[in-house]
Amino acid sequence: MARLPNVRLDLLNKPENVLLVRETLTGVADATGMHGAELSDIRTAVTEACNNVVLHAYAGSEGPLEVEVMLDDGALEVLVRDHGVGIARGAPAELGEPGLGVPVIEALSDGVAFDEVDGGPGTTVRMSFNAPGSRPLEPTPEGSTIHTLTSPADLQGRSASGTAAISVAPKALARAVIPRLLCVLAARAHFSTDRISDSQLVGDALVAHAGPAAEGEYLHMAINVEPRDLELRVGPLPVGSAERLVLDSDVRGLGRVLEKLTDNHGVGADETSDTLTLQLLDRV
Amino acid sequence: MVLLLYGELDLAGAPLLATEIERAESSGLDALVLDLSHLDFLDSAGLRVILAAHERAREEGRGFAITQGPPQVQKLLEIAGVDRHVQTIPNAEHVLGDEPGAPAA
Repeated sequence: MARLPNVRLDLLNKPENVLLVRETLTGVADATGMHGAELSDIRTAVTEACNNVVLHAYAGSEGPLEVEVMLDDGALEVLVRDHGVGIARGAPAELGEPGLGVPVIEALSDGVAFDEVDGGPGTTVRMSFNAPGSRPLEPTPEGSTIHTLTSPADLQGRSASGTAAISVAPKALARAVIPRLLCVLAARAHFSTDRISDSQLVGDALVAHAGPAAEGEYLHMAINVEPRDLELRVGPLPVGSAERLVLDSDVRGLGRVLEKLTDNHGVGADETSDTLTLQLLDRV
Repeated sequence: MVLLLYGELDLAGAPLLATEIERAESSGLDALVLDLSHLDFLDSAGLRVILAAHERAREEGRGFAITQGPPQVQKLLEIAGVDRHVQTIPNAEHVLGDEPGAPAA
């Protein structure tokens, strides 16, 4: 029985998106108190697995890059998945030389397996790392399911280069990961340092106030990046909770952060869930 | 010439470095030193650019060296066995001092 991931990232296999994976891992290390050397090896190994998806999985065209992080007591498992030809068959032939990526993964991880994706095509690289320096987080709730707003298939059809979707649990992890990712994406949107800082505050506010309904459940977010334009879609959220999230983001002296620091916000609702949309612009 | 590298040298940044190295090479330099001491991150894509520059230098009779980097960089260089092929020096000043023919950047 596969465990549910603590973090799932849905990205396109673009070179710049590998940084988002590394930043996510740095957030995980922050949240778990992992040692610097442990984090460094994990970042390097996972980067190599992602690079292989970028370079080789789709024979020069675009496709999904999926990353899942699972925390266990004193250990970490990271899955990097593609739906193309994968690492095993693609890498060495195309490079014309023995690829460095796989030896690096093997040297830096405590275990690696290459599996065909069920119902293929595709390959999952499953890396495990011992991280004795890390402390356990609250466990991922049983029975929770991951609802990404955009499936990998949806992502493929998008024109925006920066589109990413993330699901993360528990809240302690979201607090460390979401603001960090928004900083990177705001920088990619060519925001000013002030506006990058605003994006981080919006991330902080979202994580802090996406409760109590979201307490212990996944926080799902899809982020679309255009030049000087960051659009966040948060959800599915419990029915009726999206507007309350905005109202609850009141900080003394600053007002409602999710209103004040964004240029637009909107609530979408259907019978089963809400979606909160936030747009940050940087008009220079 | 010394090229001082900052930030993360990864798959996204590697083409930029390749362009800068080629630009430096076309200016007719005698020796090239890549200063890795300020890098925050290096992956195999970045390393491939470094090794390609080393290979060209060898073929064209130029001096080539890299400096020691932070622990993550050193570990990757070690795994890839780079120290067996590429001259690695403690810092850029060191090689410029040892090789008077190498122009300062």
